[in-house]
Amino acid sequence: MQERLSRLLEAARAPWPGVELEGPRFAGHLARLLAGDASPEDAEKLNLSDVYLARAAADGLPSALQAFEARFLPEVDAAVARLKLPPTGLDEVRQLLRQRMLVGTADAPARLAAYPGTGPLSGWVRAAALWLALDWQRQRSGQAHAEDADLSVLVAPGDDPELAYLKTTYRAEFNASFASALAALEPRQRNFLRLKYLDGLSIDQLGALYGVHRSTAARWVVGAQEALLQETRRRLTERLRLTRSQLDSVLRLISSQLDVSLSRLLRSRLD
Amino acid sequence: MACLDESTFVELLVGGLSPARAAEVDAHLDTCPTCRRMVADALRAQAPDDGPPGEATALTPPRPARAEEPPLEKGTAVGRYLVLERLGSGGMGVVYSAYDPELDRRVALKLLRADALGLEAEEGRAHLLREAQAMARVSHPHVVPIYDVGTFGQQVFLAMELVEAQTLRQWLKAAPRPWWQVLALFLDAGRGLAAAHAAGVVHGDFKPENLLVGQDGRVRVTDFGLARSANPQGEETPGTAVAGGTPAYMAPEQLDPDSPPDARSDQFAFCVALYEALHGERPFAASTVRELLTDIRAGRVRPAPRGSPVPPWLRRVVVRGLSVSPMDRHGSMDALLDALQHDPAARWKRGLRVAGGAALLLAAVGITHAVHSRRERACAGAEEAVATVWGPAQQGAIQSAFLATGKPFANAAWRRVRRTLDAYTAAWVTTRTTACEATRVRGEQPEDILARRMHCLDGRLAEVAALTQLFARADAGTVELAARAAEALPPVERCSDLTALSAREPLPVDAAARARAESLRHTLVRARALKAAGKYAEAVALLEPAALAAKEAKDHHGAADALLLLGELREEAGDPRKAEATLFEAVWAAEAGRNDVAAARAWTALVRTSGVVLEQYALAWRWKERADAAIERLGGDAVLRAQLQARLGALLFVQGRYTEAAEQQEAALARLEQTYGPDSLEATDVRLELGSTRLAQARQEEGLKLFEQVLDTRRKSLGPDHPDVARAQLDLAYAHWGPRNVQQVEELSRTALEIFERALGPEHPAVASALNPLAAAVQQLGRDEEALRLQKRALGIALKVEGPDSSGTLITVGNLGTLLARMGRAQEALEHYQSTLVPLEQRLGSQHPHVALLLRGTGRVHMLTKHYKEALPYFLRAQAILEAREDDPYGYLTGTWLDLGEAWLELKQPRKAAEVLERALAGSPYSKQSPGEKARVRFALARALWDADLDRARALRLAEEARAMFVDLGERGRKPLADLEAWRARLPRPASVPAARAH
Repeated sequence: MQERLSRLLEAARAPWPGVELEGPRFAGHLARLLAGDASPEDAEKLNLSDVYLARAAADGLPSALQAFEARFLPEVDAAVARLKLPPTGLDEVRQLLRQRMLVGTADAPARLAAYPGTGPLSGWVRAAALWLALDWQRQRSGQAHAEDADLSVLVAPGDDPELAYLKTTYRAEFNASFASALAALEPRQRNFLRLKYLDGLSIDQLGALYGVHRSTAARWVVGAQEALLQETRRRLTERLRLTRSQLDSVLRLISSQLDVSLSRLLRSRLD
Repeated sequence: MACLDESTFVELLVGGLSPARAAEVDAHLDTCPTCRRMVADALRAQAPDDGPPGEATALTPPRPARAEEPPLEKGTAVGRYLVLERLGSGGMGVVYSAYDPELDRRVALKLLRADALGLEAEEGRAHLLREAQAMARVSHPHVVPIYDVGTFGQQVFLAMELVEAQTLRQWLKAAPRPWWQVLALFLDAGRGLAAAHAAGVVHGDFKPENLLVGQDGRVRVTDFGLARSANPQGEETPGTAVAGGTPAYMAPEQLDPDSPPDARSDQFAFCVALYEALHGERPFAASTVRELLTDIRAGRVRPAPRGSPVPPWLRRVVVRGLSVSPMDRHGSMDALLDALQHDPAARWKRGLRVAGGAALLLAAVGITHAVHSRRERACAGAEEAVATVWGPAQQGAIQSAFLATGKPFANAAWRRVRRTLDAYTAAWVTTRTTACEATRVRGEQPEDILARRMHCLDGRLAEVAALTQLFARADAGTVELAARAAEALPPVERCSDLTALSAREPLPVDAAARARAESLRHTLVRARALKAAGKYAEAVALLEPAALAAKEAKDHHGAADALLLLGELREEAGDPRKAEATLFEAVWAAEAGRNDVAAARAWTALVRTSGVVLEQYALAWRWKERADAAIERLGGDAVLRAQLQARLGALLFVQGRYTEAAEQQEAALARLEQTYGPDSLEATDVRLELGSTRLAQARQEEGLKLFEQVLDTRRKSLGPDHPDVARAQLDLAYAHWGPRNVQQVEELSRTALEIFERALGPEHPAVASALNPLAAAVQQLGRDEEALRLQKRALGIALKVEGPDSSGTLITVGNLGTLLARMGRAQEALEHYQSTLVPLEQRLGSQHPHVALLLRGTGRVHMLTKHYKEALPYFLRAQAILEAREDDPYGYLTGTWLDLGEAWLELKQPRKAAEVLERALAGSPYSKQSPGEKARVRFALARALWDADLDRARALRLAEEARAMFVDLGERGRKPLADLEAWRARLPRPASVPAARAH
């Protein structure tokens, strides 16, 4: 057991030359992370070297702090920078991150000490940094996200008033059907559509979020879309008492000269 | 679940959530866009992967393959019609202008898309055809007539009247429309709709886009596109109401596919449209059909916008038409129209006959006093008061009186009067209610201001009463002037103008003075109405004792009003000298009694009387200064100022100062159009005067346009047989005389003559005014004897009516001279001219353009008889008058130069001729030469240069230019061309002929 532990310690320490965390301290930390009945095999599943560095940095070892700064912070900075924070925001988030990760307070130890070791430390730190940055952003902006106006702005100004009126009216009917069809979907389906069409995430990002392969994510998206479309048509037909060919001509009427893309419909209906 | 915390967020991102926890997070993200957006932002920031957001998906409906057919080409035959051009397209189809070769007219052709209804092609076509045929059964002035119906391939076409119009929506946007104007328009449209209902046709899609307002202001209902027969047709009626109509204007029952629209659903739509036009917003706030239905069912009409001028009774009538149940609406369109015209106050007065004269007048004046002594309903009596003077009984009586005169223009006059008085009384009711409420309800206005306003408003209503009583016993003369009389009612708005009110007399305090003032007021009102109706002698007889009494009672203020009116009457009655004296008296009384309005008006009237009529120009200019000052003291009343400007324009015109005249007339016109509207007769009168000025300025095109506009307005508002239409026609004839459109001159003046003879009798001065241009045109057309007869008849009338000295008579004599000269009767012509010249100079001044014309005419007669030496002094004087001006009246300058040049040539003084002709060649900056004049000037100058041996090479060049110009003139250039060729042939051959010239 002792031997195994020292092998683990060696392996964990290897990527960080000069970071000298005491063996017992690391062992104790591992024990806390793994809780009571864990086997040594469980310990081997963890990102041990990341756990090692996290513990060492949380303990304030200067060499560990240096290594942490050099290895993780540039990537974190890059991710945070993509949020397009103003320079002062960027500085503030960096400061906050260092403080939370590395410096403990009386009632809260340094956050790094809580790194569970299950995923890579880089992703964990990055996620925490993004939280801080987004939280910062949320507090500053007061959530004043400008919402898109409703679809009536899509009527071309030169439209014949009569036609324009038909369009907006049918569109109102269409929107109502669309909204109720949307409400009938699963929450996850709705989130998929929103994240894809409103928030502009790619299939890969969606797959990453839900921990599935991109082809699965793509299937989910298409499934949600079709369910939505079919349900919308069904409800619209019912609402206007239209025959199938009439439905098509109404849909044509609504869509002519308009760009009725799903993203716009979702934007006006979902938020 | 609450919003994501840091650890959940981090776990979500690094993929560490348990499935149960993940489902919770999904449920939260579904309801919380903020958290969702944070997650999305974080995901994007973690791994940049910028796929295009929201790409097209299966949900995006396929783009239609151009639902519309390609436009028809010009010349395509649709039925018997030939397509001309595409005018536009609506929801139902495309509209073309087309030509109907059979009836030789242009029509509007509407090609309806059967698929626009969402119907199958066959079904749709049959349906449309049925609708169109139903629609063609309706014939009414306020419905666009359908001439023809047919099919064109898969489409149905309608051939209908081509209306130059804007939609109601555009009309409403084009200018602010007061509610009574909107109401008047809808009443007309409603009559059209009612006529359709009477023919068993329901519109089914009544809305602002289907109301066309023509340039004449007439509204027409069109596009009974979805109308169905009101008689139930059972299963034939297709059940797709929703896809057809326009939901915002549709009655709730129309949304039920099984219940076809009927007359009451049209009423609903009518009321939605009327409501929207009155208030500027639709009655229901809903934005979707479902919300709309909910609102209608709940009767949830929006509250009237703050400060809305629409009277509550009108709103009530409209809102009733918006009831969800057809049974709760008005019984029929007719019932609705009735309610819209006759507010509740009219009901208890219905059946009242027009009683005799003064009693009713007194009642009208008294009633508002009585009403506002009863505080609790202080502000509700306005409509009742109006109903006593302009209720259905009076209207019926007036209409029959008008029609009983048998005058061809009586019906048009009645319609115009009705429109004007409807609008006027509506404005009166609003003004009175507002004024009353300002004190009694809102307490914003002190009692004494209210008293002044009420006093003023009572006066206005009394004027209406006096006028309607006169109208009820109208004769032909009254009917002729009726439209103007109604329009001449003093504006109601002035009763709201505190400055104008304070300029009025202090309210008399003691009972005797009050009684006297009241009695004078009644007399004035009646005299004004008589004047407006053309009964001058009667009015003078009524007014003279009243004016005297006021003077004796030292009521200067009242005396000024009476004398002013008396002066105006005397001028109208054709006694300008006495009129002038009376107006001076009025001015004196006005100054003494501080009656600024009367002073301003009297001075303004004097500008016309002394200046335009009595031709005392210098005096008139002084009166103009006084009028200016008086208007200024009043705070610059726009209407008074415009009237003064119009008088001044006329004064400048008779003085021959055309540029300045045009300026004044333009300014007056702009003001009057703004106050009374572009179609008002008042504005039209000034437009006519401006047109004459334009002719004098040789700006033919502009003059022509103005006259045509006037003619159009007058025809529409007075009817085609009204003498004022003939007057405008005459001016138009003069405009055509310039470019020698002789045929038009003859036609216009002959029909004008016929109108005058029919309406005014054969001896009326107006008849003479039509004879002048007619004679000239007839002579030009080669019928000399007839022309002479006509001109002599004109002279006879002028002598009889105006006496031998008036400029009108003199000009007629001059015309006769011209006629004789053209006929080659030189001696007689000369006699006529000479008998005219001196007196005309005395009347108009020696520098007047008419004098120049007469001088030139005399000269030309001498030329005809080859008395060149005698001709010379006349031409020289004419030239001096015309050259001294900074314009070219009637465009005679070049002609006068040419005459003079030719006289010098005949007198063998080619150098003198060359001198004046060079001037003619250079032209004047104020003058425009016709192609013929240009050619003649060149030819004459060529001869002068050659004869004087000044520059013979140039002479030949000029002659060649002239030759080319004559050739271009075609027929008209033939004779001078021959002269020119003959002249060139006579020229000595050059000593050595260059080879090139040999052929």
